[in-house]
Amino acid sequence: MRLQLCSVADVTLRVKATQAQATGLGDALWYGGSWMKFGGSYQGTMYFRVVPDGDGAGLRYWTPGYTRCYYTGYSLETIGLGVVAKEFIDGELDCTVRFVTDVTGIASVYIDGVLLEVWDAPGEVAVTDLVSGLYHAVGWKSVSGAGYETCRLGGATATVWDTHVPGPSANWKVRLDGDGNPAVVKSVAHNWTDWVAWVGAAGDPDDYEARWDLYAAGDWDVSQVAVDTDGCFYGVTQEGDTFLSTQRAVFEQYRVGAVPNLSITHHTVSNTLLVTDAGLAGDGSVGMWKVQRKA
Amino acid sequence: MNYSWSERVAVTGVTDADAVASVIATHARLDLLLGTGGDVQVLRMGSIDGGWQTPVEVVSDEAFPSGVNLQGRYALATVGGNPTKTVRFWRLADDGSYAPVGSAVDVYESMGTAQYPSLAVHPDNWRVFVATRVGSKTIINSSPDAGATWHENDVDGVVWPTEVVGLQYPVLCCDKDYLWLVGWRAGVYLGAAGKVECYQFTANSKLEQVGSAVTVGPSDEGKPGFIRRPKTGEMLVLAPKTAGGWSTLSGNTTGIVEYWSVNTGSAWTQQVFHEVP
Repeated sequence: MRLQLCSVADVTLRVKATQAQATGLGDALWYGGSWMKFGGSYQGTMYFRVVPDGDGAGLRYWTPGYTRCYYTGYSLETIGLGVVAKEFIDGELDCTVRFVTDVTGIASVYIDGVLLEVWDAPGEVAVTDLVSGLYHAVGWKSVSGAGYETCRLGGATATVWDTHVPGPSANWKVRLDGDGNPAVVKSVAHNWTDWVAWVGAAGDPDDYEARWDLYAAGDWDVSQVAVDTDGCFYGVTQEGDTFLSTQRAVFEQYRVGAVPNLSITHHTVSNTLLVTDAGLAGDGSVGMWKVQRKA
Repeated sequence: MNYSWSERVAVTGVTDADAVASVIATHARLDLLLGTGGDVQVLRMGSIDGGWQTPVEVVSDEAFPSGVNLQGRYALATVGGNPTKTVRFWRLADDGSYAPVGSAVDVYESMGTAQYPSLAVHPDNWRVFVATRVGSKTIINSSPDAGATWHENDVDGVVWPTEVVGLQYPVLCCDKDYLWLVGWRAGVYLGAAGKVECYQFTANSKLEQVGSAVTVGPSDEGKPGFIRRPKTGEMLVLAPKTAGGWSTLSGNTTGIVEYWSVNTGSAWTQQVFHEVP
């Protein structure tokens, strides 16, 4: 739900990063930053990114609805968190983000009691059930590793059927290849058409924000996707919208659904091995077998 | 091996091609553990012949559950987050709910997404091991206190978590002397998409590999089943077959391939293929 008028909501952040995330890259601190997702649904998702050093130490955040907000002048040291960037990279910290809305719906954002920013766009803050209490980081979204080839972004899911993309449970990510430096790109757009429009407007591979914006396909309906020989990609939504990307791109697919999985358990009472199979049967059933020593 | 397999019985009411399933058992209970739709459900069984009760959601927003009998009480490992980065450990409470135990094991960002944790318990000291697929590797963490704390760094001269690069879909089994790790490694092998490998470690705080990895046999992608019978020492590995082209098994039939070892995993023999419709 959205923040209500005259409400107060606190989000507790535990920020954790490792040195391994920030090694081996010239702009390592960008890639060493961590994404955190709050809330269990897309509608209730707010993305935070902590940028511990480099191009403006601080905490960046944006919400669904394309509103990307960030505050680059925010120094972790000046608000008394007691850490400096290097220490932060190696460790973790806790801080509380407080959202306070007035009678007009304008939200003020505080971090550990220090006013960070005032949002004057009521309704843009849509963190699920923020008012009910504390939230904890439930996941991470980051790109890390010593080189682009090892970068990984997860969480972008789509239900895709196409010969190029084995499905139905395929996770995918897109890498722009505009300047020879592939970058993982995701987007917060709600559908393909919006996302492609966004890419067309902001998909500059040299733009950090473009690189880092998220495409979280989530539950959206994408019926087909493919990559042409030039590296451009196109798709068809289940609503019939079609698009062709304006960027060269590389698709990578990987499963997020379960693969076939088997298990064996010894039932001591009956001295029987119980075997289960899942993801193997054509009808989606989970099977069970009893395995016993022959008399 | 002189073992007979029953007919396959489909679990009542479960039609999820992406489900993760396993059975956990104590002397008193027999439950089917099901990861489906982003939640963990338990279907209590009336007997080994089935009699599944209505699924009960026991953990929400967690995936890839793995269960173990820990001191006579169920314990679970799951992974959470989006993408999944955190391995959590749960114990069955008296009221039938599962409560988280200890601190979660955070998987380092650089490693990739965490999936398919597998638990094993040392029979004497109850040390808990959890092996997790993280990207294209397996990491093993250990808890000396029933999940209350997990080794994350250098403990007792051992760097945790222990990694096995390239091994996916891990399954653990432990006796008082050794910990065995079985998993899948990608790469065409005898016509299959990959193969199952078996690793042996000393089962104490100094997890040290014993010998080299042993190839169990060809396998298509998926999580194998693995057990070591405590009394006989026989080891059974089950591998999924989802496509044709295996040089050791003809036809396109989908099913389960059965491998046995009678020498603590040093050598494996393919035995029987069980078709899954």
